[in-house]
Amino acid sequence: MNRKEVSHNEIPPIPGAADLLLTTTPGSPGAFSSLLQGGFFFHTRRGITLNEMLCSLPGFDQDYINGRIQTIFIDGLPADHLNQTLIGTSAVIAISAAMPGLAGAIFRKNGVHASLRTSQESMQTISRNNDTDTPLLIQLKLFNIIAEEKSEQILRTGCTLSGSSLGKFFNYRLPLLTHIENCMFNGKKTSMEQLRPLLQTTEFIHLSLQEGS
Amino acid sequence: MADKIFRVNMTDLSTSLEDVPADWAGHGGRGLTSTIIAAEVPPACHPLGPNNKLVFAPGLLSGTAASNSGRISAGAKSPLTGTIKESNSGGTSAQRLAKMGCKALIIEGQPKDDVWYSLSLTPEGVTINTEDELIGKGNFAVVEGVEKRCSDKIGILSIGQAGEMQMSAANISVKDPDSHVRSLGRGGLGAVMGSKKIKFIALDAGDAKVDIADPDAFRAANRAFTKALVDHPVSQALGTYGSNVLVNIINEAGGLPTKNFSAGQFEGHEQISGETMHDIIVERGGKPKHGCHSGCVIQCSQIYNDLKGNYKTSGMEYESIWAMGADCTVDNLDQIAEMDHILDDIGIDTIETAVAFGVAMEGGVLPFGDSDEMIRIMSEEIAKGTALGRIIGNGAGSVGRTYGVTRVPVVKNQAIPAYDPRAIKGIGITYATSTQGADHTMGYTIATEILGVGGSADPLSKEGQIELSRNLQIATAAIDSTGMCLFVAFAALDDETCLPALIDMINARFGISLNAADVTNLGISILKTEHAFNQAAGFTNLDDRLPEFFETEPVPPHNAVWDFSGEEIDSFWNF
Ligand code: SF4
Repeated sequence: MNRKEVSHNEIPPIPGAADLLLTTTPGSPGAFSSLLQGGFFFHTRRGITLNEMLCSLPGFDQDYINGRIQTIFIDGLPADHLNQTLIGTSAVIAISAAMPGLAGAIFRKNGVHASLRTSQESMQTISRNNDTDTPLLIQLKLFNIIAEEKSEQILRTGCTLSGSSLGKFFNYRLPLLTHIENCMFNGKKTSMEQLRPLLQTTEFIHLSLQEGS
Repeated sequence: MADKIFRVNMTDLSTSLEDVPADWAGHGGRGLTSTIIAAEVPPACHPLGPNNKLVFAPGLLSGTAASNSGRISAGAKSPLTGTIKESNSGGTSAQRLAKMGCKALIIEGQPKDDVWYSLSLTPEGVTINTEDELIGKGNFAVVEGVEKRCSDKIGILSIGQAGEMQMSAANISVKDPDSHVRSLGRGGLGAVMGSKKIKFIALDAGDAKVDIADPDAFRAANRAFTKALVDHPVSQALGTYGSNVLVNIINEAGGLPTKNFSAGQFEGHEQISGETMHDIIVERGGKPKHGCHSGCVIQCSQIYNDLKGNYKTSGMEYESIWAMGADCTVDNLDQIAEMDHILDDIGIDTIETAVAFGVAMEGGVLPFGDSDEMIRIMSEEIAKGTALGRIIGNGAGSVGRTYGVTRVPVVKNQAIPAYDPRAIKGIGITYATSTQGADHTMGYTIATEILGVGGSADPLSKEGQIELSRNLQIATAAIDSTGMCLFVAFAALDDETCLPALIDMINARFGISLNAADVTNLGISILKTEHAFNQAAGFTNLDDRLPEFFETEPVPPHNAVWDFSGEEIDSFWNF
């Protein structure tokens, strides 16, 4: 793929994930963009670089990744390099635009204030098992402007969320339910009242949003 | 018209207009308040006694068209920390003071009788009036009452019940362009105003305008400055989500102090994040982008409406939301907005008060997460001055001492704000060494390279970290001394046209020729002046320490501890 070309890849569902298709009122998929602050899940190959992983996402291109993504955390630790290799069996990655304050500057990738971070040696890091052939499970959180700009396309394409996190989202953003015209859960028409308790007991849900007419 | 010092003596109820001493002329904002406090206040005085002085100063560019220049500074010896204190805020007062030619308002002395007063400032001087009607009222009623009496065009500085009762966490409130209030918070300056028996100060500049020595040069510099501010990506984030954009980031880093600093991540962070707040504001017809004063081009403030779409509060900052949210484990933005509104009305600091609640929760006074009880205590105990209300209203240290809690996150008795120093060490150095107690704004990020204070030690060594922190505090003191909003610092960090344009504006306003080195020297001299005041007030290097629990209690999820030795911290002042 041309490095500048916008990817239209689909994000494969996590195997075993329930399927959820929500049809929203016209113009409202964008109102769901902060849903991805809790992260979405997908498998990728171990050894992939952060940059390759981000490039594979719908709507992400190299200019956007280099320019807009200024703050990156991998398993809660700030990352500076996009060519960092992702190892182990799982990783929680959060991406954000440039942030304010001294803390924002401290965590900015390759920022001049990075030396004011707590050293990673003095932090407990997640132990990594790199011996198996299992794929790498990514939980990718989109924060702030990145979420605003990219969530809608990802949600339209479809992405896997944790059921409890989706349930929690609908609990604190109840008014959003009025934007949902139709709900199909595992291929069956379901009311939101029926859906909400199901979310709590479903580990993974592959959600797609489509706009009604 | 040359600027004047407006002076009010509350002991004999006299007022005067004085020429500005030559060595105060180049100062504004924090630079001026700290210079005056250091020159005129006996360091060992009681902060609530007649010898303390309360000083208000606009920024150097307040009252002009310069972007983000309408911040007002207030200074005094702090009743919370016992140190020198400067606090700044938006609102309309800085512009009114500057336009009426008030370089600084100095309030000294103390009435001997139990009578309340108000002050009225015009370009002609100050009038002192007795005040009955608004005593005992909250800030919103004061603003409404004073506007009815005078006009809605005037600026108003006021105190609520907390200031009247001289609580150590009391704010001075500043009317904003929508007749709501902003706060001169942290450090209890509202208590100092209460100790002078002044309920409010009305500022009527009439049609007066600020003189600009070189208007063309000023306009050109303001254009460059504004462009740098508007174009900067951090400004974009601030304008969209406000400073609350930080909740998710700091939580991800494990540095979001939770449940009275016992953890670094909050389960309910998504419910209180800037992203969620933005969407709720839009959903209810509020304003996600809003300025705390006219002329702000970043607009990190917001108007938050309640469920029915009616105005609830404005200008909720990350640190306030964190304090009432994660620190007290409250995950409901509507409850937080309600508390923000009540605390604005009472006129008490959101960070100090909420951290005090966190300590009270630890001490068993109320359960963690009980926001209904927090709201009740704010309205029925703090506002009415019951014993519990006064204990909480005097801050986190007061609660810790009263209830025997050892995990009390304060430095120099001021509550540590929203960044856990175990997870973000650089901020811990600022908390320990700040001249004003734990305060995240003292070492804000700013153009250390452009100001020539980039540092020479290995940045990864502790020596290098201390040096960088020192340089950040010097640079911050310099920007604070111009009286600009501190959020201009982000653009100044990255855009090499931004800081020179700011200096050009100051030069064009006054017909002087400052350069970057002068600004740096200003920062150094302000920091040294403040430190010297504190030493004379009895503070030593041993006060520059974080609470012991940061060294002994690892904070999950990374389980880091604070590991700077006293000797390392003390090297901060080797300059
Ligand atoms: S950026 Fe925020 S704090 Fe600064 S002047 Fe604008 S609204 Fe006020």
